[in-house]
Amino acid sequence: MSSFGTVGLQQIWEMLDDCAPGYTRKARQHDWYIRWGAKAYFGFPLGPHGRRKNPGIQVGHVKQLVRQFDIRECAARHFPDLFG
Amino acid sequence: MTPAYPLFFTYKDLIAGNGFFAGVICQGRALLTEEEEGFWMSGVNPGSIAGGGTEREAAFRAFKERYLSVLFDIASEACDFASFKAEVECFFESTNDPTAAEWENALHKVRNGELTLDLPKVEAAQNQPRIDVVLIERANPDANALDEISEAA
Repeated sequence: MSSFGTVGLQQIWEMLDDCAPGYTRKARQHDWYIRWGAKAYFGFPLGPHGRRKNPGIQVGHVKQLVRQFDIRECAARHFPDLFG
Repeated sequence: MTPAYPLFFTYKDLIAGNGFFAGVICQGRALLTEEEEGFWMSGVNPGSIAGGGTEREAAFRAFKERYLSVLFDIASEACDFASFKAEVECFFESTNDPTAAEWENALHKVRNGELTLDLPKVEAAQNQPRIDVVLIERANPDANALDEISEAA
């Protein structure tokens, strides 16, 4: 899947539940702030129209988040089309 | 294999916080990847932002917009300049290690003449990533500057 495809935000949270156990997230005015141990992701989009329940998030952001947390192997089990 | 290019960027921005104005001068690194549908710019320092667009300039703008949105969020929550500065430095210094490795690999290809862009070139050794966050006590137009994006070489 290209970086321009989208993944539902709920699927991303489920992936993090498994691959980054204990992570925390906080919705700020413009972005999600996601923290896992000593690692943090500051600029994860809320979605194309601000906060909604399950907006589609562009794959390019998901890939960068997975790289930042260095959880590619685990994330590939959730999103084989992205990381397989 | 998706072509990937090592970039430097320099942004100088004035950010309003709770009771202060701050100048943020960022000299960062990012990886630009070219895909069938367009371009993605992924940060190395800072490592937790990315942005894409169908044209290269659109990807540059999306990346800058994400960068600014993070600074705006930090400014909203920081109670004073010291807190703002500390959090912005934390944001910048969190290197994205896998993207950094791809950046180094792309730099190697540029040096070997395997790929290049029509952007100004800057010696990687002379452009170390850094961020300066300064309290603006007296406004001065000398601080104004346009964004700069160049290819590492």
